[in-house]
Amino acid sequence: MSLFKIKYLLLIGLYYVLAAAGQENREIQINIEALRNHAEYLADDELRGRGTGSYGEKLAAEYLAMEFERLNLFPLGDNGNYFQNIPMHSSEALPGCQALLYNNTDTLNLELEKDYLLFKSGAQTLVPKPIELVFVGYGIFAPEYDYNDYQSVDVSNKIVVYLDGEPESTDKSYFNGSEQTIYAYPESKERMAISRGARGSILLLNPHTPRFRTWEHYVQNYAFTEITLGYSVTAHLSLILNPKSADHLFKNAQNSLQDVYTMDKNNTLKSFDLETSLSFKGQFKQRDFISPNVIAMLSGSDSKLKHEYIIITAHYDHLGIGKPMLADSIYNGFGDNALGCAGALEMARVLSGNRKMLKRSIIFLMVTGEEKGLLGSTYYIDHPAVPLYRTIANLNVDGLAMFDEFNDIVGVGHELSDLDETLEETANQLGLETSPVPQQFMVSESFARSDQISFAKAGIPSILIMDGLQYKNLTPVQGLQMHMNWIDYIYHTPFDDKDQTINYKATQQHCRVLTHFIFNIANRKSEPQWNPGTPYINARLQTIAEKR
Amino acid sequence: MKKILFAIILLLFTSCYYTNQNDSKTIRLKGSDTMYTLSRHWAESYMKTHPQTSVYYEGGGTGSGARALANGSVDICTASRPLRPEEAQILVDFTGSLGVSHRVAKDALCIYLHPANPVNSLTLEQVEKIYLGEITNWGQVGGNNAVIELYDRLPNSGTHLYLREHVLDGEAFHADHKMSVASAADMVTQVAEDVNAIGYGGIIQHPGIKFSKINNIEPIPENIQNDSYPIIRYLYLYTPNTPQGHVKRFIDWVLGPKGQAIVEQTGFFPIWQDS
Repeated sequence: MSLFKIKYLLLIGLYYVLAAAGQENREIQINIEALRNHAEYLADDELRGRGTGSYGEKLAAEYLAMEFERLNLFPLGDNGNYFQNIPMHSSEALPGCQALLYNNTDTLNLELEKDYLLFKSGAQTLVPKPIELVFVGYGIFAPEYDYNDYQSVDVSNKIVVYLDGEPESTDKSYFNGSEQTIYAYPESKERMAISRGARGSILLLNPHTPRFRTWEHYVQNYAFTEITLGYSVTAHLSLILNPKSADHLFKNAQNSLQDVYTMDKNNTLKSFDLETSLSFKGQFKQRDFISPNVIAMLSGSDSKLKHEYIIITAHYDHLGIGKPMLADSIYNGFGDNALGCAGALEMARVLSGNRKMLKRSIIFLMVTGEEKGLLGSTYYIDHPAVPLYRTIANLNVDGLAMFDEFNDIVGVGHELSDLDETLEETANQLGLETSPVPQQFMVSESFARSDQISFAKAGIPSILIMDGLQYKNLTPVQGLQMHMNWIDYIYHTPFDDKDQTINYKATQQHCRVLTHFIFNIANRKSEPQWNPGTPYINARLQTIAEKR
Repeated sequence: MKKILFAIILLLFTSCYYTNQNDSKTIRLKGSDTMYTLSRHWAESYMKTHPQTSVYYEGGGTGSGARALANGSVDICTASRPLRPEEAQILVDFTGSLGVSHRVAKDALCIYLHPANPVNSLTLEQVEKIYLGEITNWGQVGGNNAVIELYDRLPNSGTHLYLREHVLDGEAFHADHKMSVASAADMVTQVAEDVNAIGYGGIIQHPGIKFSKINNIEPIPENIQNDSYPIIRYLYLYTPNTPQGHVKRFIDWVLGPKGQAIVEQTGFFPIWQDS
């Protein structure tokens, strides 16, 4: 062997030793002050709760873009800037809306907010002539459980009525046992109704579901303006009915509302025709506007792997101005999700300072319209900045730890793909444990509730990583209590603001975990794969086939 | 000369490359809810071995699949029954063809009994009468003098509909003495715990239950494939015309060893008697 070759091999060896050492000594210093400043600015009253399409949201988008520019991230938006502009449409139901229920010769005038709420509204919801109603149980078609509420009723051109919830089970192999499946979500039921040819849908609230709240709670939550993507063409009326007014639907039918509740309790719910029909003439205040996603990229250092992308998402919108509570009408969304955005900015700063250690490229996508139905992430999937089939993973940041430093982490969606292995590796590196998602979190934090589901549906393995319940200074019971109190009394209220107590050390730790996780995906040998049998595999294979 | 040869090879290579780049094919299936899971597994397996073809599938019922086939929005209608005359008429109106059916799998329904029940065989008529409430005691069918405990699946189960349509001729189930269970696993558990029980479902091997012979025919794959077991139905793929190109390749694959293996894995029966 020549001296040149020996020197060359030694240099190569040295390079790998240094690279490995560098990997172990990543500089992951999350700055608490920066976290606090970002979050407090984004949740400031001046930004008016960052409602989608509002001036406050525009200020937030500009702030995020300015930060990306300061970090020298590559702009991936329209025309070489950081904004992916999204056409949107808003409509707000006015008291003049007229919903009439007909049963033989009886006509009942339903009053907006008192008797019903609009789950989706807009110009398309005009139903000038009465349309027949049909009860479709829970409104679920779940082939894997041999369950189909639609199999014995014809719903085309009718309005379907379904009960909130899903069949109760203690058997994990049937509707996930006591844990709720995606089929229970009103959005899933509405999509199923549309796909079955129904003209409209009515959701009956179910006093037996854990989600059940008072009617006033629903009125407060649905008091916000409805916003859709500009190009959505859902010709579908969708109402939520006050249980007190729901009796009328079942007049002269083979079963009463009480029978329906009893069948639900006994797990014998069935579909049947109703003798009632409904007409609806809406009055709406409507407008069209642009709301942006904010998007930037950190290019990978490996000549081949830099063409594979990992998308970090955090939604920066919140609810805006809503019904006042204790004389406060600004829904600031500090925990949801100003803090998550602040964390994403800090992660971007740390990663950009270590950019040579990232083999794959990292995209930071701060999405709009999450609270209005995952609009920003849905739009991104329809208009991706880089090919979907080369986008190998999504890490969604929706909320960060704020109660206490923790000893375990949970991955929402970890069981679906081998991102689970990367999560485990990350936990090991940091001396943490991984735990299953606590059952109590499922209602509020499950996989289908935030932007990660948009990526999963497009075939991209995705995950949301949260702090577990093993805290340094709190018992699991105390920690769980704090979580539940936050969900019950702070979440989606004006009290989710910067005046609440935040343990920034916990937030800092959470960001450190996520940053390590990103490093690990960026440098792992192979791209993440869905686990066998996961329903999202086929979407992945479709994008690969179509090179989409 | 070498340069020219190189240029030709390069040209051939790049033209192949671009052909391949644009050679992505799409196959769309819609129809039977019964076949939804089967379609999903076919799609997954086919796309893995044919990475330039994307396969989409949708439920909605056989009728909606037939309509979609007629209006050209899908390539294949999946069907758990033959198309009805009015559906074929729509196909004729829109495509000028009655459609072409491809039998791709068989589906069988078993009657479950407790192993300690001395009854081993029932006629199809007896099963019908039991579920319609016209036979209520095991003594009426050669068993012990004991009330027959009927177990039924929920009305929103495809298995319930199968029994109702194929055994009860669409009649409603007997309302009394009937216990509804939610899942296939629950059905097996209930029958296994009740010596006087009768239930139904797919072929599930479980020590707590036995399958009743129907008309003295055992529900074993051989009897299902040779059509002697009475409670069976075919599953179909319909195309508007004789399939061509990538749709033909897909159907050939479904009928081949890999497609038929998936038929078996998803609880149905391959159509080929030797497979």
